[in-house]
Amino acid sequence: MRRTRRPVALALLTMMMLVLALAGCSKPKETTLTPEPTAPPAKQFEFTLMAYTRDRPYNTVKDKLAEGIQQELAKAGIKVNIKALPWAEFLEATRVKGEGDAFLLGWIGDNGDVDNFLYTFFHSSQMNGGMNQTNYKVDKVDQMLVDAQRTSDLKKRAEIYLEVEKILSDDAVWIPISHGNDYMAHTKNVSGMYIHPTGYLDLRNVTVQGKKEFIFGRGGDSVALDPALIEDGASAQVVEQIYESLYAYKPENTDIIPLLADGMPEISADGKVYTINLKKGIMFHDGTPFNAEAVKFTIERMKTGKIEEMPYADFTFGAVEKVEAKSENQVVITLKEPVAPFLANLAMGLAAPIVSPAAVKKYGDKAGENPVGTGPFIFKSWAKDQQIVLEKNPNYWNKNAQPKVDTVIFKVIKEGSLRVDAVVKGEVDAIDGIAPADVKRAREGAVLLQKEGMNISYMGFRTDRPPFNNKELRQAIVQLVDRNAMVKALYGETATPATTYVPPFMQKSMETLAGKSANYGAALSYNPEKGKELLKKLGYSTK
Amino acid sequence: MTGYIARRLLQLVPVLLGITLLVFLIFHFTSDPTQVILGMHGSAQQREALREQLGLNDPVLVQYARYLGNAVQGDLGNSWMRKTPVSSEIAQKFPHTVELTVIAMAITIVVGILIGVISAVKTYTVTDYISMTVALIALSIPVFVLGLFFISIFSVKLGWLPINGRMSAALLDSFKPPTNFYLTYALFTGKWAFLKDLASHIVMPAVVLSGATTALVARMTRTTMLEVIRQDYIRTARAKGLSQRVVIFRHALKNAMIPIVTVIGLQFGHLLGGALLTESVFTWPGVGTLTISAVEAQDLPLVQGVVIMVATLFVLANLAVDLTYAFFDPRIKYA
Repeated sequence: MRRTRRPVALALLTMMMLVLALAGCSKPKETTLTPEPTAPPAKQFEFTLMAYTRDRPYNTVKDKLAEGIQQELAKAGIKVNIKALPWAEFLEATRVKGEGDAFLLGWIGDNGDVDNFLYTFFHSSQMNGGMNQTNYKVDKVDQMLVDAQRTSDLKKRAEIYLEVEKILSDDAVWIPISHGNDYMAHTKNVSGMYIHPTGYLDLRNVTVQGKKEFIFGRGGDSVALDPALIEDGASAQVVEQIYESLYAYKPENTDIIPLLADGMPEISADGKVYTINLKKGIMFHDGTPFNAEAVKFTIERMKTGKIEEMPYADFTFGAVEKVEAKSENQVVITLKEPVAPFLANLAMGLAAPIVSPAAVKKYGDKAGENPVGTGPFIFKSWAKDQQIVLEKNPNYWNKNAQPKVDTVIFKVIKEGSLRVDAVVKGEVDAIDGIAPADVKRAREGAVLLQKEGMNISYMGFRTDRPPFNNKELRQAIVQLVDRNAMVKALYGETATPATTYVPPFMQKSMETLAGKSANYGAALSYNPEKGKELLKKLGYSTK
Repeated sequence: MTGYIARRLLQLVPVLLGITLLVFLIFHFTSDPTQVILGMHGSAQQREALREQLGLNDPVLVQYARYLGNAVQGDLGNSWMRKTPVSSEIAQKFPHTVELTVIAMAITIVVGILIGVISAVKTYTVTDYISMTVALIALSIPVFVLGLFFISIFSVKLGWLPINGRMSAALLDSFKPPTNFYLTYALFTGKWAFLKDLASHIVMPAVVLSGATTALVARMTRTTMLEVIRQDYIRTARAKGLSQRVVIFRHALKNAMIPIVTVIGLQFGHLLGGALLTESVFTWPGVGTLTISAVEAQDLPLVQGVVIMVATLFVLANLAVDLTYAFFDPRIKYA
């Protein structure tokens, strides 16, 4: 061979030998004798799990969650086939076409009421295109959910819901997985900010040392500034500064307190008629008075609105039959059915805030860009996709909660990591929408606020057909997934493992009201022995 | 010449037809408008009613023909996610992208050609090697990465430039330009304080956006210049005693321009595409950011609108490039 080729050949030969040697050195096969089975060999259990490939507030690792479950169940010898689809196709496949034996999904609450979680998922009326994708239909549970919906007695509602959860856990309808945390960060000069579980942004107590201007950086711009036209969080954040609703949430949870209303509503015995007294002397930013006519206008406007323009109208006011302005300061709302969660709807930042009839009539189509409410801040300008500027309302009615800054600017910074850079540098005073990867940096460079979100991530079983129409099989699967370990591994500190079917603060609220112990009605805990026992009993092989 | 221009403009028609049909079909088979518009809300009946209203139950080509019919009258429909007319959405965002692209293009042409010429004249020297290596790096780094990298150095570590956006929050509120041509307006009305702020915001995105195109133009210029410099007529010009500057710029560069201009024209498309990512990183309120939101939300009318705009601009840019050939080479005439 030529001189230059010989070393190359030698090198190749050496590499080949090394590879063969390594291959040969693998572990020697087990040579124990396998006993002859006397019964027919147990089958391996396998099923299809539908997953989505988009970041959601309740699941920031996309389809890795499905892989996590796959790994957990593989330990018990179960084979999980994952079918991961982009969000729109995923909804189409699971909700419309009904594909898959089990599916991953989640939910962010709307109005802070337990009904918004449990009824939405587990009442049989929500099957076939609604959120009850497990197609769970149990008459007793249906009746309990309706009973809880129809009484305004908070204690009674809590008691019923806790018992519902007990049944759901016994029926193993879901594996409740986790609750994602909400994060905000602000500079050291800022004080008075807090995270509300519903995402409601209350800036009345915010101060910034050294200046009277507060800049809030967020990942997207508002879609509109009129509460009737919006359905997203970014739009709601701004609406919540300009407008107010009849009721509001307590700062630490979703208990309802009066805001523009004067006291809690008087509810008739049949639960359908709400008589609400309004606070007197409150003016809109355009000088027109806030009164019963304004409330009537706000609600009726949404009852006649088109769904593609007013996406939350039906959810918020669908139960309303009529609204009457009994006097200047008293409004009577009559519902079609006695739906207790309606009160919670009246506290939302979407759809429920009261608008100035004069302004809406004046601006017509452009109402979404010329907002007029009763809130602590007045709209000044909107440079689309860049920023929205609000100014302090000097005539804000609530003397105990006057806004402390002169100007609020909502600035758009699309890139998540850059938002963190901006708050660390001080170019903005506060941000939200912090991705788990940026949490550490935000905590080190700024003041990080953290709270469990009003959301839940879960795996649901298709309970209406094989294989998971078998309760014991479902119970087995639930007990074979170590939720705590999996959530810790996937999300670190940015999510809390779920034990029940509602966010922890709601669960605690109910337990306090009903006088029950913690985690009443919790889903079956991780118990691999029990799980494998059930599997074997059902004729499946286990590891 | 006018005949030639007219014929080239006619080419727009098949191009636009082809592209819009393609986009239309892709959306038709992969997305559900009612899902986009109604999101998680809306019962089955409401979806069905919406389908009827939008004419979604008609055959594909009928829907497409309807869209075309409206489009030629200037009605590009309403954005599904923003509920506003597509044409006004794009018209509002367009000036922001234009100003960014113009500055980026200016950097590309001036810096690119200059570096290319210098490298060609000083071939195989240190200057040449350094500029070509830097050009290669600039070509290879994705615009997104380059952007984040620049920001982390110039904004976060050094604090020289703002992180992103078009203007500082407080200044934007008092600026009140009549149109979205911020830079042009500030320039023509002599509002220096605003101009300074606008400039500091546009510097990084423009440099980042022009990175790859400048590099390409530089390399192309160098290559063609090297070819041209070896030509006999250059030797003649030098023999005649003309100064180096006249030889290089009047004779050599002018002859080298045709391939360079071609590349610049093609880079226009790259700029439009790169603008998408650059705008996203720098929260530039232009068409790029709009497009990304539209694609994420599966907003067909908006995506179609942008596609039409980009295709038209591309055809026009190529036409402009071809017309400049006649300027650079008097032998070329258009019938």
